[in-house]
Order: sequence, then structure tokens, then C-alpha cells
Amino acid sequence: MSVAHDGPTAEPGASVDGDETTLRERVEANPRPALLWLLGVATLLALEIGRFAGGLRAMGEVAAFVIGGVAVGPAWVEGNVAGTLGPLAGDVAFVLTAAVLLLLVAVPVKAFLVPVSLVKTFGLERSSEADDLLERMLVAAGLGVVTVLVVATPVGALVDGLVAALSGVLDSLSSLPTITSREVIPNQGHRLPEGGWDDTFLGLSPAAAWAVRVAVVYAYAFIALAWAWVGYQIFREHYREADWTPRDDSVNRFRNHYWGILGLVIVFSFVVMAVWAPALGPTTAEENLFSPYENEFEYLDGDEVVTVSHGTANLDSRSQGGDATVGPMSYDNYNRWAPFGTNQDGKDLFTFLVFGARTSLVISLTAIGLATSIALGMSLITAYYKGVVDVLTVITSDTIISVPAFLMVLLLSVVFQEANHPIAAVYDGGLLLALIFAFVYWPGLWRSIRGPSLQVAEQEWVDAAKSYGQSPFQTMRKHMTPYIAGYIMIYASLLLGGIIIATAALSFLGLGVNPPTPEWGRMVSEGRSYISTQSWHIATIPGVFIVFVVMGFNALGDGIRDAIDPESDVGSGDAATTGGGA
Amino acid sequence: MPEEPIVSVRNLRTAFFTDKETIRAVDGVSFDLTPGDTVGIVGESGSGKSVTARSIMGLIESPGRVLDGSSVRFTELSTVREFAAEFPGRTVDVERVAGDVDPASLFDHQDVTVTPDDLGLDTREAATVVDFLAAGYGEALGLSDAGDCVFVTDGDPADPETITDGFIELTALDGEAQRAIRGNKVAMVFQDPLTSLNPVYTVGNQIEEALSLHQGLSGQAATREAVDLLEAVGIPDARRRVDEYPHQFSGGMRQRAVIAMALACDPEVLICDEPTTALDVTIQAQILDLIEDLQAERDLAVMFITHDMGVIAEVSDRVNVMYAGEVVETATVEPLFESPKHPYTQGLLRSIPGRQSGDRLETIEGNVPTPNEPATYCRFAPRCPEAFDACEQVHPEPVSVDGDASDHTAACLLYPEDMDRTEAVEGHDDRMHDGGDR
Repeated sequence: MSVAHDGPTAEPGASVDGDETTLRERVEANPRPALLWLLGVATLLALEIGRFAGGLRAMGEVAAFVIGGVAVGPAWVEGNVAGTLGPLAGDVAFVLTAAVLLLLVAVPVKAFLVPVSLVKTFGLERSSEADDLLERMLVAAGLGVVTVLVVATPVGALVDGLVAALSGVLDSLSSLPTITSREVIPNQGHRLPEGGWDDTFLGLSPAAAWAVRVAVVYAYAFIALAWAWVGYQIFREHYREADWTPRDDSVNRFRNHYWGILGLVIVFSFVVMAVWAPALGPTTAEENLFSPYENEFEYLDGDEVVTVSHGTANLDSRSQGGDATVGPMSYDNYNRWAPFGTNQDGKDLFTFLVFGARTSLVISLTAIGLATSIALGMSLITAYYKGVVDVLTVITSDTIISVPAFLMVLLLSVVFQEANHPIAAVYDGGLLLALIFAFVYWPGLWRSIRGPSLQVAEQEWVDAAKSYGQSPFQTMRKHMTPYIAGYIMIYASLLLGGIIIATAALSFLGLGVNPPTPEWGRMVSEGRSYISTQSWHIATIPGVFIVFVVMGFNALGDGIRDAIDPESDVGSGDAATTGGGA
Repeated sequence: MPEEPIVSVRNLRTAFFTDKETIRAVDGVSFDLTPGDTVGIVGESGSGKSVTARSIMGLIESPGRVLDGSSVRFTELSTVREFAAEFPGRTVDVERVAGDVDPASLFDHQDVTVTPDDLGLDTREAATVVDFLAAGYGEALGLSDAGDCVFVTDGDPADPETITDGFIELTALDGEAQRAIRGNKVAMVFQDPLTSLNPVYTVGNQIEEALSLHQGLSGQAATREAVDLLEAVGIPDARRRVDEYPHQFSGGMRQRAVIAMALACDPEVLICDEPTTALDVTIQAQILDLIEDLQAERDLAVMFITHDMGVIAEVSDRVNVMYAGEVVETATVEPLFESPKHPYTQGLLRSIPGRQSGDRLETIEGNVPTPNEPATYCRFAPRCPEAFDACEQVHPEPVSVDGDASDHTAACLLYPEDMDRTEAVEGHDDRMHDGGDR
């Protein structure tokens, strides 16, 4: 036990020995690659600064909304209690509610924001049973003081001013043009009597302008993805301390897994489609889909430019099987560019499709996020504690699994929709669907990772962690989760495709997402009757997209599985594309 | 023995309840661990060695359970004071609860399933309330609450400084109190160094995890301490090694790292569960030397589990020979190897290849039976070369081999050896039956 404690690592030989250095020190020792990469990131950020500022502002608004809602709580309780029991009881209720809320808020604040133990700092240690509570009460008291200061003193005005200034800055930033926005590359214009186009990007035809914008969006997204990969490579080569970590092999295996990479490309394209939906559509969802009669546009009628509302124009662009059909890659009678044609209502199919991608992605990600969280939590708990918890979970999951999944989804969705439950109104039934999917699919996920989690719970390092006094939660998080995370990722990505199909199927049956929120399954359903006519594209194009996206998710799942499992045969891309579990 | 024991195991019984049967993996084991001494536990696979260790650590998992009547007392005074201060709600003032309870009458209570003999007492009158509290009957007898684990026998629990005697009952621990003991006071080295280190974290990271739990160290300070520990267990170039992954270590290195991890929080008791079984002999010798050095340096009480008689002879001060969940013979190391008394110990020693002269390796025929029913006969009888009729009907109790109070005991009907055989059998039979059925 005789290591030199002579000073920090500032001694000259320290970094040469390769002993402990922080990432920052390593970057300072060799800043060139990092700076180069950061320069690239800054450029990418600058190109889209408006969008990021807008995103930040939206997050700030959500936070303000939540804080506002919580702050109203005590007053609301006071009002209710005072109404029935008198004003004094109301005051008591106000104080109690405020205290309870402060204590609740103190838990996360303590966990994430207060690294030091206040109890120890103030020398108030009693016994470990009381310490936790005391600590929380101290934090809560601190929060209370801050709240009172903000509400009752001039400090509040100062904070208000600060917030206003910040949101002002974000506002002005978010109005800056971004390279992928409709305003920079507009495609909605009208013909000029003397030939050529007005109001479009560089006077190009709307089709060309739209194509340029789509190309720019996808180029930007794929460059950003590639740059993130380059960043990882730079980190791995120049700044990571270990020459090799177990993750490296998985990454290398995935790089050579072409089927998986194809899946990644498809899935990424789908995500880009959902994220940049407003920029990708030849027209906006607001003017073409949601309120077509309140928005107008100009077109060239004979020799003069006239104004007409989208709704009126749509009536003449309906694809209902006749000669009036606006097919893929064509202009309608009003010189509006419709890359995928129009639907039976004359609305632009491409715009409908990209916003439908948003719907699908939001629903499936919410559902899968919830289902995997439940499944992961339950698998860790049941594997760690076994016994009664395990048996109860088995019974619960078996009960849910024993009803055919799609039947269960149908049943629940009908019940909630018919009852007009408030939850069924959110996102036109989208949130309800997500919750139902999470409820129906978590037992399957849990079952599929039960084996691996039981296996890892028996590993000696879990016992070792217990034997040096690690807490159950930390043991599960640090020593068990990394081994199950891989499995659950595979099953989740496979199930994601299944949920997209199931959402589409439900909407096809009229039980899923209601109009006007766009949804692919409803598109197929609505276009079904025109499938053998000239308007074949209404049902076919969304159908093909569903097939590709689900295939992409399955391929990605296969790729991840083969990458994580070191015994898998790399390169044999004959993995089956299964239906995705719907 | 010169020093007071730091851990006393009394009548430890651990059973696994499966649908088919109840397996009494550990069935009434008693021994002491003393600072600076090594207690060896030896036996074949399935004799209950590891379950004993895991019971002490509280690592028995469902469907297994440490049964009522078992007691593992941790008696180090400063720890008792610390716990009485930390967990006042779980501390019991024995003098106060004992009051005027007559301990001898407690054996008749319906929930009490031990006999005075199980508790190592000669008569019912010798029992004290402490014995019942430690054995986990406090709640059933209305003396203490569920979850009580700190028992103060002399002093005022409200003022920890005045405590001069007491113990922590390890089998009653759970939650935070258990985590405060594990690693900090009692640490364990597992059998396979390959699997007791998590492959996805660096060795330093795992040692630092243990350090941060009990000593509140983090960041650079923790890393320095981890380097110190790795050097203390003889890993060269520890400053570089601390950032390496377990797969970059050789087998011996890994076991050193595991020992460093166990020692991270300076425990008082180290439980080694076959720490050298997975290693080759030269590395084994190094690891044994290392444990010996660390023990001398830190005054550790070591419990050493192995199936290797050679290793036991090397490391132990005292040896417990286990068979089918029971300690069949216990003695200090020289008498045991010089004149093993129990036929099982004799068989084990005969099976060492170096000690044999014939062409064929002499072994003990058969396997360890699964102890799935209460012991009413000698579990070794079917394999015993010296078995006689009574062995099938009478369960042998541990007795001093030569009749006087020496600490060499064997659980065999052949002993005490100065007694007539019938007389000896009767003696065992009486002790088996005096407390009724078990």
C-alpha cells in the first residue's frame, strides 16, 4: 500500500503512463481531430439554426406549462376545500398541498441536481433511517424559499424578465431561414402568361423545385448521420482510453451486415420523412389537408393569374377512377405538383403520406417505448427477486397473452372509442392506440427477454455486486441491464414493424386513427375501391410504403441481433423477413 | 482460543423448498471465526460448503431460505455501536425485553423448533433469552419486532457509546442494514474469477464501485485507492492495469483483482469460496500466500472453503469437515491430519493421490446423498467402511473424540472412543431425542 500520493496528475510523466486522464485532458493533448469534427457539427447546426431554436423554444414552453400546472395545484385544492369546509380549512389545505408538492419535486431535484449531502454538510446526521427523509425535507425547504422569493418579491420580476429575454432570443433565432425549409426552396408558384414560373425556387418548375428540396433534406439528414459516425470513429481512434471495448466487435459486425444496413437506411429514411414532414410535402398539411377552404393560392387561368382556395381546387383534382384522376408525377388542373397524385378527395397524396409517417412513428415509438420499459423493468425485477413477484407477473402476462393480440386491441379500442373517453380524443385516437399496444405487447416482450435476464441474474458478478453491498436497483441497472438491453432492442425493432402494421390495419377497419389526422392504413382503406381503376395509386403507394418500412425494421432487427450475438454467422444475409408479429 | 470470535455461527440450517422435496443443504452447522485465524471448510461437492458461505452473506435466493433457529452473530463491538446508532428502530435492548422471562420454559412454545442441544447447550436451564432472540424467535415469542437485527446485551442502545456487549444477527438482516454489512464488514471472494468480474466494466471501475458504496470515494481519489489496492494484491503496473478490462487479465491476475475488490472496504471477515479452484497450482500457491499476507496485515478473520485437503492443510488454523450439510468432524489442523477420527475424513485423506502406494487410486465409493429428509440416521453410513447396524437408526451428534473437553469433535457413533460402543450409541441416541423431533 505504498503508492505515491504526491500531488495530482499534473506531474510530467503522468499522461505518458497512460493512467487516469479525463476526456477533456485527452482532447487538449491532441485537439486537431476534435476541432475538425466540432467545426463540422457547428456548420450542420448553423444550417438548421432556426429549427433547433424553435425546438428549444417548444421545450421551454412545455416546461413552463408543466410548472404552471403544478403551481396552480395548491390554489385549486384550496378553492375546492374552502368551498366545502370554510376558508380556514382552505388555507390549511393550501399549505399541505404545497408542502406535499415541494416534497415530491424535491425527490428528483435531490437525485439529479444536488450532489452533496446537505444533512452531512449541516452535521444533522441522526440515523440512516431518518437521514433520507431529512435530506428531502431540507431540499424541499430550499425549493420553498426559492418559490416564495419568485412569487412574492421583486426577484420574481427579474426571473420573468430573464425568461422573456431568453424566449425573445430564441424567437428571433427560430425565424432565421434554414436550408431545408419551404421558404428557402419554395415550390408553390404559378405559371406566367409569358411562360416560365413565378414564386418558385430560381424560377424552376414546381416539380424540379420540390425535387431539389427533397434532395437537400435527405442529403442533410444523411450527412448528419455520417458525421455522427465520423465523430464516433474519431473518438475511438484518438480519445478513447481503451484500445478495445466489447462494443467494438458488435459495431464491426453490424458494419459488414448489408441486410441490416439496408434496414437502417430504410428506417432512417422513414424517420427523416416523419421529422421533416412539413418541408417534404409539395404543399403544407394545414392548407391542403386540414383547412383547405381557408387557404388560397394563385394559378394561371388563360392569360390572367387568379386566386382560388385549396378546397375548391381539390374538388377538380379528385382521383376517383375517371379521366380526372391526377396520377403520380403529374400536375393537376391548377398546376399544382402532385408527386404521388391526389386521393379521392383531391388532396395531395404525398403530403398525406409524409404526415402519415409522423402519425405512425409517434404511435409506434410511444407504444414500443412504454412496452419495452414495462418489459425491461418487470424482467429485471422478476429475475432479481424471483418468488411471488415472478409468479404474479407470469399469471398477469399469461392472462393478457391468452387473448389473441389483435382481438384484444380491437376490443379495447372499441370500448374506449364508444365510451368517448377523453383519452380517445388526444391525437385523434393515436395516444389511445399507443397505450393499447403497450398494454397488449409488453407480456410478449417480457417473455422473450425473461430467459436472458434469469441467466444474467445467476451470474457470479451479480452475486459479487450483492456481496459488496450494492443496492438492488444499482445492481440491476449496472450489472444486469447491459446484457438484456441488446435482446430487447432486437425484439423492440421487430415489434415496431408489427405495431405499424397493426395501426394501419386498425385504421383500415375504421377503428384506429380518425380523420383528419393522416394515417397510412386509412389511405389504403379509402383507396381500396379504386384499385382496379386509373386511380390505382391511392391504395397502392401507401401499401408499398408500409411493406418497405416494416421490412426495414425487421432487417434492422436482424442486423442488431447478428451484431450483438458473437456466435452469429456474419455476412450470410439470408435472414428471414418475417411478418413482424402483428 | 486467545481472542473472542468475531462471527459465531450457531445451528445454521438452510433449506431449499422445491416442488418435489425439501433439500436441507445446511443442517445444523456451528463454528466460530476469529480475527487473524483461518477456518477451513472442506468436503466433497454437494456437502453444503458454499451454501454455508452464502447463508452468512445473506445470498440465499428463493426457493432457499435460512430456517428459524439459525443464528450467525457478528460481535465486533464498534460495528454494534455503529449499527445501534444507524438503525435505532431495529435495535433491541436485551436486558429490557428479557425482564422476568424464564428462558427454559421458552423451549415449550409451539413455534420454537430447536432443542437445547441444537444450540450447543447441555441443559434447558443453560439457555438465555439471547439464544432465542438470535435464533429468530423474538417475534413469535413477542419479545422483539420483525426486522430487529441489532441486539445489545450490555449497555444502553439509546447511547451507543455505553454499549459494551452485543451482536448483529446476520440472518435477520435485510435492506440497508444488510448492504452496510456486506463488503464493509464481511466480504466474499467467489470461486470463478472469470465470472465474478463483469466483462463490460474495467477492473478499476468495479473496484471503484465498491469503494464509492462504503467509503464515499469517487473520481480521482477512488482511482488512486483502486491502484493502491491492486498494488497491495501484487498486480504489477497497477496504474495502467486499473483501466483494463477483465479479459485483458490472466486467471491469477483476475483472482487478485477479485480479492482487491473484496478488500476494498477493509472488511473484518473474508469468506473465500474455493478461490483457487479455477487456477493452476503455481498461481494457487501465490494466491494462498497473498491471502495469508493480507490476513496478517489486516487481522482478517478468514473462512476458507475448498475441496482440496492439501490447500486446507496449508491455510487453515482450524478445519471443519462437512458432509451432506453437517459438520462431521472439527479440529485444529495438526490433530486432524495426524489422526483423523471420522471415517469420512479418513477416507478423504486416503484419497489424496500422493499418499497412496497401490496401483489403483483409493476413493470413497458412491456420492454425497441429497439431504432431503430430516437426519435420523448417519448420512455417511451407506458409504462408510466401518458402518454397523445402529448407524441406520441413530443420528450421530458431534462429541469430543476422547471424552474430555478437547476441541476435537466428530459426529460418529464410534466416538467418544474411550466409551464402550453400546454406551456411545446410547449417548448419541439420548442427545438426538431429548428435544423431541426436529
